[in-house]
Amino acid sequence: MNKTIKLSGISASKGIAFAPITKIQPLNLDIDESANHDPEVELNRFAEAQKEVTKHIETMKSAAAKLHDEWVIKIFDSHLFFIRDPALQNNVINEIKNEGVSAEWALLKVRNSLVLMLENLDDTTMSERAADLRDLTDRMIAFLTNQQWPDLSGLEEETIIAAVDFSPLEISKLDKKFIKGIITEKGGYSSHTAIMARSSGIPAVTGVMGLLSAVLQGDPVIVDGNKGSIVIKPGDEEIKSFKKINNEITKENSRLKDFINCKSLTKDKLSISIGSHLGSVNELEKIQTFGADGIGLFRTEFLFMHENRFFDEQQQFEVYQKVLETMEGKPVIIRTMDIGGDKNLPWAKIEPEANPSLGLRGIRYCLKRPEFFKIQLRALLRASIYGNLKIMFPMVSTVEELILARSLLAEESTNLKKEGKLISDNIEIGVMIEVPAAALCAEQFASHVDFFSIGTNDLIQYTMAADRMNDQVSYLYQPMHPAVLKLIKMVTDAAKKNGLWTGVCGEIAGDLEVVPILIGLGVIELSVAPPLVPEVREVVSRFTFEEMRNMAKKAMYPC
Amino acid sequence: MTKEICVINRKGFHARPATVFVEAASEYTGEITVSYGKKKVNGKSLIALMSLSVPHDGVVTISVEGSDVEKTMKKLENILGINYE
Repeated sequence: MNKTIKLSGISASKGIAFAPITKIQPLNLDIDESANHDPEVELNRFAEAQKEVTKHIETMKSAAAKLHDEWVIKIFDSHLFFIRDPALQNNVINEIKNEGVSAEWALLKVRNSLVLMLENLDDTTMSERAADLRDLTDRMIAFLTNQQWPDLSGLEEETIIAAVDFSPLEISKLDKKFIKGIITEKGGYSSHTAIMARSSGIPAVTGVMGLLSAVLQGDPVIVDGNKGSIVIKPGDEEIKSFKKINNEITKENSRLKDFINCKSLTKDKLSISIGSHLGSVNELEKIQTFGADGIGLFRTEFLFMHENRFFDEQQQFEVYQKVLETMEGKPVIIRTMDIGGDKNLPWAKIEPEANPSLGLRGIRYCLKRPEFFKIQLRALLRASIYGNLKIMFPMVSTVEELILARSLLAEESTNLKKEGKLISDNIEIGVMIEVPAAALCAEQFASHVDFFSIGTNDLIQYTMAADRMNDQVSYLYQPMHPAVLKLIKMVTDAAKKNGLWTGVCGEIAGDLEVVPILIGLGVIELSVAPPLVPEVREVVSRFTFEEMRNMAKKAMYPC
Repeated sequence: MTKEICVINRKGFHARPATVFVEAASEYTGEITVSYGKKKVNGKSLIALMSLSVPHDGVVTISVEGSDVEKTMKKLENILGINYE
């Protein structure tokens, strides 16, 4: 069984890594529901699971204590509490005694009803607890059904992680220190896993079919994010080739160093702004390291995903203030929360939808639940005096939505001034263009905003009618399709005519082949993952604007 | 012994204060129940206490049954009299 296996997928994040694999199998909840179990045996098994999982969590807790990781310690504390909570314990014992079911089935049934109860409380902080309870009971069920439950929060050695895919919540909890590479069975270039990997500079390959059945826990694996391939149990030849490529990458990186602290200029000295995405305050350091011209897209919903709860006004204010102060007057574009779609959060209580990408999300959700939206707007306005803040609204389809959002912003601004709070009078307001309808009618939006930011991930998905997460139709997800480029051109034309500027904050802004075309189309601001800033800057410096305009024309009208 | 107590914590009776409450309640051998509105729950269950969703300034009724009731009640009352922010 020492044969080398090569698999390929999508090149999601550049770089190359070689380390043992940590495989994350989804928990199998296909549990025996029969009612012919011996209650005495099952009660003992339940008690055993409580004991074992307690022991395990105590170990992880003391490891976290050594690292002074307060947040993780708190999670483990609440896990320990839940294990012996009477509401859980007594109900499970009753199920076992009265129904004659297995310990795991009783546990699953009880936990499902408790989680549902907590999630339905009119209190957003409770969903965090519900997630803890789910995590903990998952661990117990894994123990009872002899399933592995690898713990990524307790990683102690360098590893490459492999899974079907990670949810945004799981991603935000990953301890990136020891993660050298990421491989997933599902997802493409624009999946959340891919985006996170790029922003952290971790090599990643997504969409690797048959991955989990081909790889065993602990197998040595090479991940080649440049080629989009992986090698399981590599032989001497492959290891030699890994070392060679790794050396080349190190050399290339030192060459790009020259582009970290210089201005972003085209060959004919036209100034472009190359900013970075930001998902959490922890990434600020990275943004400075790679010399971004500003923050092109602060995805605020990730704040709430990371801790799985909504932040109150003061907590949000402190985050925005910190970001603005750290960036020292460089532009910081903050997008109001874009939840819904594939980013559903328990506290947001979005009803399950048949078609979430076309459902209640982005500004639609914010206008429907203004109580959350207003808190964010207040926090943003209060933070505005600490730097160069620009605010933009996601998923806008019609001018009416934009006007409504702006009137809420104006309302909160008036309220804050009445309360004696200071607000900058220099906040630029923008609209994200992600819906084809908005791109086609960009002209109408122009008089209500200061800038356009084209969210290409969704614009491509909606224009091509191809789900970006669906591997079966990924061939249709074409960033350079003339239909997409023409829509972008309509937006930049409308901007130019009305004295506005246009940025691009989708993943294609970091695609080195697409960058000259975007600039040729009239885009003057790009937002990319922090490690990509020097490369993109280097590409921009190679061409004059005229050259890029010709490239864009050719791409729009291929003969 | 039964007593009505007002919850001082700015965010109401959950997470942090509820955890401290349950810690103290679990050390007691007798019975402790907490009622709010129409609901009455086991004071030793964090999940049950959270299900009450008691807001800031909400008044809960605590009942302690067993030995040493007064000392225990005093302890629980102190826990609810703190703002944990």
